[in-house]
Amino acid sequence: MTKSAGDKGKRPGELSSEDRTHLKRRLSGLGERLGKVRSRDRPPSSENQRGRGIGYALRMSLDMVLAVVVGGAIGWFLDRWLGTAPVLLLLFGVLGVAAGFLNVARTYREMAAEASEASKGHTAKSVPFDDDED
Amino acid sequence: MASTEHGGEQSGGSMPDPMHQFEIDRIIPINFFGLDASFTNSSKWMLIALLVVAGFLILSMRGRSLVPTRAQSVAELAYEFIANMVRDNVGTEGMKYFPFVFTLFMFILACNMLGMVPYSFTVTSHIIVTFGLAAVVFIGVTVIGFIRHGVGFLKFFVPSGVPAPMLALLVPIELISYLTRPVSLSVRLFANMMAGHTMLKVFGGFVVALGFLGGWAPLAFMVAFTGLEVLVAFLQAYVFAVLTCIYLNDAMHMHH
Repeated sequence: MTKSAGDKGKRPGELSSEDRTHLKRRLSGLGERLGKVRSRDRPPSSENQRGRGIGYALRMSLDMVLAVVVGGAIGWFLDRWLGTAPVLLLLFGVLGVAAGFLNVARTYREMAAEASEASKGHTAKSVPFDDDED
Repeated sequence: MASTEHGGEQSGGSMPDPMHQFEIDRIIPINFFGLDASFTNSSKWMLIALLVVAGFLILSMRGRSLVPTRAQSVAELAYEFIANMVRDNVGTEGMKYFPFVFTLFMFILACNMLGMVPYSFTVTSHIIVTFGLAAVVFIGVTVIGFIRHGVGFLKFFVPSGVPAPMLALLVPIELISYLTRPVSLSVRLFANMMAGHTMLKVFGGFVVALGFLGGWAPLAFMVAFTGLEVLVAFLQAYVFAVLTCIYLNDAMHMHH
């Protein structure tokens, strides 16, 4: 990172490269410690997690059931239109079940991605070192 | 079509009918070429919700002060809340649909919250209303998808890396899954609002039926449940907006 600019051109108030790296290390350490403190001070998120879990559960169950209903409805209307009594109703009912599983699988994937994101983000980002050396 | 379910007879007996609150009354009957387009109590409360939202936003933002007043900061909070939601779920290019999502959220929130006022009417407890809103979202999002990707949007229904014979099975499944969206969007909002309000009325009936001695238990429950209902009213408006954003994102970027 520090391209050893050397200490020769050091003016008062400027930092040597060693100081810079030292400062950077301290800053990133500070960020880590800050993240730890923040995550400790945050109220335990089990309540939040459970609320979110219930939300997902309701969404999944509704999507699952409604896919069968929608599939069945499509089959029923096609049956009425084509006059092929129960064939398409049954066929689209089964396809609806499959679509329901697809919905649930998608919601699950989304949920898993969110969960892994949440577990990753426990420590805060280190404080950015925005003093570009020139 | 929305206003034909006028219940008419009340079920007799001491218990008040918990479904009475959902009845539609024609205030100004209008017959529009054979269609019943009357101005009903539902229309009245939609109009009130509209006036409340517009009035609140216009009046609170009139000062435009750098240090916001209380009302202005609430309005700014609502704006930031939805703006961040759109940015997180759709990306910055989705911000051109921000006005739509914001309007949708504020309208549903106002309808849900006004429904919590005693003697009011909950517009969102009727499935035809919520389905109308969901259909607007669904059709709009599909149109956006086709405008952005042309015929290529149909690829959305074709899972990649699947042998051709399987597609005959998978495309209808994808199609049904896609068509489930407006239904689940509308049923979720409608069912939550209707179930909550029915529950409140049923327990209100218990309070009256159990009288001065036993009525306190359901009354205490009702107080807690009213709090929960306010939460649900907000949460369902939020969920509706979030799902709109997710569907928008699917249409714009075409990935599941």
